[in-house]
Amino acid sequence: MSKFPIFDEMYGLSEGSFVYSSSEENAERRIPYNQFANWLDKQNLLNLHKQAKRAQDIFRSIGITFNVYGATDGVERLIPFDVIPRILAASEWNILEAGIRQRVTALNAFLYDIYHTQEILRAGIIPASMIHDNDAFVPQMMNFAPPCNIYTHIAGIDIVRTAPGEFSVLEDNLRVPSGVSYMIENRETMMHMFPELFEQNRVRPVSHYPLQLFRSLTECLEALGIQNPTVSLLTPGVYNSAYFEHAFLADEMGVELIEGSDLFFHDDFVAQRTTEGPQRIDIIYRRVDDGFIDPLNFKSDSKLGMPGLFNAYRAGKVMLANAPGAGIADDKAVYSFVPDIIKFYTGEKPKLENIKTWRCSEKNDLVYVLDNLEDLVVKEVHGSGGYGMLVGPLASKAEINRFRKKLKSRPSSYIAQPTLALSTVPILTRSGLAPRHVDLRPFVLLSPNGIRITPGGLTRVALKKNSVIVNSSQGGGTKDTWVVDD
Amino acid sequence: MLGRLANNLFWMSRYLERAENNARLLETYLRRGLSEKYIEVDDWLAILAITGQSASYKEKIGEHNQTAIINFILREKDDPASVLNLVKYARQNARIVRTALTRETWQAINDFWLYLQKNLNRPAARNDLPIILAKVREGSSLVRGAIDGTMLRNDIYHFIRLGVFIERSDNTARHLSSRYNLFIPSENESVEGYPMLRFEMILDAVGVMRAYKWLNKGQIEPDRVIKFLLNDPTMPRSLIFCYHDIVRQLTALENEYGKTYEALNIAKKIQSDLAITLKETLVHDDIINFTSTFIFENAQLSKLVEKEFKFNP
Repeated sequence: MSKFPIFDEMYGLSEGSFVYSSSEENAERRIPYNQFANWLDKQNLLNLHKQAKRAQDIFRSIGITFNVYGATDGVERLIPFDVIPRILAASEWNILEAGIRQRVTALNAFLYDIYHTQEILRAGIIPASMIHDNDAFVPQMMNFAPPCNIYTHIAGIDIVRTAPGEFSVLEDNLRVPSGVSYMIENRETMMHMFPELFEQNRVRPVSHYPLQLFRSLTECLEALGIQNPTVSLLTPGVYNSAYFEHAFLADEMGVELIEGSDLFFHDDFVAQRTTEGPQRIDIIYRRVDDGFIDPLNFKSDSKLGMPGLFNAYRAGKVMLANAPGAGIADDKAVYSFVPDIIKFYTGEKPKLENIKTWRCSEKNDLVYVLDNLEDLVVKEVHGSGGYGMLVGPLASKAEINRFRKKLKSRPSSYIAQPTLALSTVPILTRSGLAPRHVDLRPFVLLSPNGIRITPGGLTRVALKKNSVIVNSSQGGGTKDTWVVDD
Repeated sequence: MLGRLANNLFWMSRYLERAENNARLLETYLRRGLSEKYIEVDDWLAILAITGQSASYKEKIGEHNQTAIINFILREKDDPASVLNLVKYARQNARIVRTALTRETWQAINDFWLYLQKNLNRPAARNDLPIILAKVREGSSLVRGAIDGTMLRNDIYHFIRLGVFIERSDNTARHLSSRYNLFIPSENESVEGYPMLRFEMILDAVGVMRAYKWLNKGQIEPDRVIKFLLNDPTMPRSLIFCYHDIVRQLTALENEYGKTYEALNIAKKIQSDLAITLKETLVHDDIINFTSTFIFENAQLSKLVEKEFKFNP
């Protein structure tokens, strides 16, 4: 992939190799990195490695770990943490923030429309079959308005960068986006290890996220006249890969961390079983997927939810966040229509670009994709976590041929995108700094009082040379992400 | 608080206390085994009775061999009562309730588990045993200190303390009930100091040897040892001390929740039974009967707490 020029966020354009050459190391650093680079020049490698090791020890001791599904050893893994921060200037962040705000507003409006009069289908902008035949569409949500018409209380928008001013959205996460605890703990750890950096740089804080999350949720019911609603966080349990995050958020918000077995109906309300008896719950921030929240209405063998929970939700007895069915707006097939969705509901031009996407369900697109597999990234429409995708330029002939067969047999399950020259940021390796590809997941909170976006977000970094897959389940790591005032 | 979390807190606390007690027991026998001639295979089997692993050991290992017994108590992966598993379960329970624990408390438990996981991965070398066993006591003490120093005195704390004292009183009682041969004259009876050695080992294994000697000017007398273990209100591992605290925690829960609980009545009854019974001098059979009854009633109380505070659906 070295044929593309690649944008390095610290050094500017590079030749696309995966080591820095001396010309880069002597080159000017980009402005947001100036202060940091001056500090970095004074550090010795050995000490940085010592600090990096210390960071891992801190993470393990605090228990910031995740479980890998299917891994038989049952061992909790650490997400590798890289000590070199990823730095965005406030001017760059402003572009992102405005674009995300617009996008999330439109996606929420789209959800309301899809589950009510479906104007956008009538206008012929999106084919009706794409919605009605989609597993992420929840017909039980039709003609039901969630509190304050909000579906996506919490969203994570994945952003990639290809040039200084060029940010595009890779995908939207509107179901149960995760990773926010890493954003906060990464910052905590950096402040613990390198306090001087935070005296020299004016880094916008992220630690208020849990409080804002709590407010965003409660404001929905307070707008309807319910004062001091009780919030609980529903987790699939201690073996879920994101359990640490569930516990972390419940802790930081000061709410109970519940499992399905803690819930029951009491006097016609949803209650949790406490040592003092039943306690009514008004809001459930659920980290359980749609299909599992209620065995009576969805997957009947689920033990993670509560029978009848969805009925209670529809009867207005409890609020669920995010709303069931929100996934129809972050579906990979619907993704390619988001620019049209933005225009349709806001009347504005999209401020953030989508990545060019070929829908293999469409004949012409399929032909193009089959002809150009070795240059494209092909993704399964319902896949996630970086599984089941083909990265053409890195794949062998045999892999490409295998994928070609899959594509031909089930074309509508796939989309394709061009291979992007994703921006790089330095990471600390054994021999010094080396550039690696990154993406960014800012976290967005939607409430009747407005949209809140935590400055920065979670930067995921592909630690393997050449790799563009940043998922933690596939060897990705994370970085602290700074927004610094210009 | 959630009933399920109360359950996790209670058992986290019981498992930690049990791990500490079992480690202390092993330490005592290892140390004494170096200097005394009369530590016999029977004594090692008696340890298994105290840790509640006799049946499991017989089934899985069988042979009576000191090294095998030590490893079984310390790190047997397939036995839920091994020290390694006890700390693992304590940590699992803590992980589930980490929102109810202070960060210091959670980290103390997590670091404790990480240490054992690393060091008991393989059979421990004989020379490393003293260090590892001391670390188990230390790990448990750190958790206790973090709880004491950083946690609110609310229901979370009360359930943790209930777990500690129900477990601890069970442990102290087991030391007496499982060593019934203490009270039966043996062929070693004629050897000077032999019966006293057994009583010394109990004091040691409960961790109160120095305290006893300080109070009794070094004189080991069976009646005094028994009263010390059962009925000394100043000794933090005596049955009466444990029950004072159990009654205190249950009373605090009644006040906090504004309700009454049968568990408190039962605890008070066990407490007063202790006081009455122990006024008289106990003969040997009485000790066995008394401690066996106590162990049963203590376990019943534990079940009642689980039920009344809705630990389970």
